[in-house]
Amino acid sequence: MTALLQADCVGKHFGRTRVLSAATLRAAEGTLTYLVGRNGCGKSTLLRIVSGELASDSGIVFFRGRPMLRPRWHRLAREGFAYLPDRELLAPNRTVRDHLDMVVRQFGLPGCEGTVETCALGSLLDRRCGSLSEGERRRAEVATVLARRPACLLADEPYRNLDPADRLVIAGALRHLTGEGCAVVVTGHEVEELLASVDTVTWCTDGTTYELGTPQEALAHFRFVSGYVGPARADRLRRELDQRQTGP
Amino acid sequence: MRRVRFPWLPDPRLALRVLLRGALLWGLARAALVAVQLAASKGPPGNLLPMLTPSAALGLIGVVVALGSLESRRLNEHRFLANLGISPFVALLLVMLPAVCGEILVTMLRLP
Repeated sequence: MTALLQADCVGKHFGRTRVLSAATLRAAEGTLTYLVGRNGCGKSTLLRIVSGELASDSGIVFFRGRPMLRPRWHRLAREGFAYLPDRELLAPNRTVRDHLDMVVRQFGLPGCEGTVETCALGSLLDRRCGSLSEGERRRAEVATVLARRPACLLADEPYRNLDPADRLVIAGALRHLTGEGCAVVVTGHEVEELLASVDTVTWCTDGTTYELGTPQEALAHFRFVSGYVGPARADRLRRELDQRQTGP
Repeated sequence: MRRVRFPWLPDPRLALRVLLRGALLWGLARAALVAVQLAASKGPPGNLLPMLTPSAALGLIGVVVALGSLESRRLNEHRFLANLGISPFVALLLVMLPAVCGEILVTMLRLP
């Protein structure tokens, strides 16, 4: 597996609080990676550093094998990188169609009808983003990053504020993107949905990260289970994953 | 996917929007300047398009850039543009361009 994007030994502190000390993140082509961890453990900080939105104190980022001490979001984006932040991405006074058109024109795409259909945005295209509900806006944000067919996508909480049906829709879109060879990293606390759809799990805790392997391997990891998922929930998730693998 | 010739520039429609915003901000900054001058002089309105000294013109352009940056952040545009491969520096240059052209034009019109 080739790591399209790799961040090594990333460190960051805010004032006296050290959020990350030596975190590593790998996004491999055709792989959906779940970056998981408790609130405040530094998942979003790590993604912001890797995308270039935030400067790190230490560490290095490789994109397509090229080392960068200070990555720049816009430069990465020109090489096929996309980042879905956990904050607002769309202008409240512009319509969903305006945003998608801008993406289509900027990257010379033939269109984005597929993405509109995948994200169920047909009826929302002419609505201003400021008038959308939080869930609808999140779907529109996801659509703007999926529309360009990125080679690498970091999605910070893509399921935030989404109802279960929409989560399935977005999960399907992310899986489809991975199937096309995109390296995808997602974060979020929707453990059931995410563990069922990802290929590998990376656990962020105590300022560092641990690559736990497949979801089954992650659920067999004692510290991960006791420190994040909880034993009873882990048992249930393990059974569900096994059932899914063996079929009904 | 078609290869875009200048990936570091926004597409013309988006660029035009940013340029128009720059022009509007420059017009507002100029209007505010005239309003301050009128208030200070307390007399009848004289010159509505005053020629500024180079340092004052640079200051005015700086104000336009600062307002443009604030507006861009209010609209979450800096993140969206970054995903399109456009540097925030290019976006600020586009906001600044109408103000620079406007000040040059005013200077040319006012020169004897």
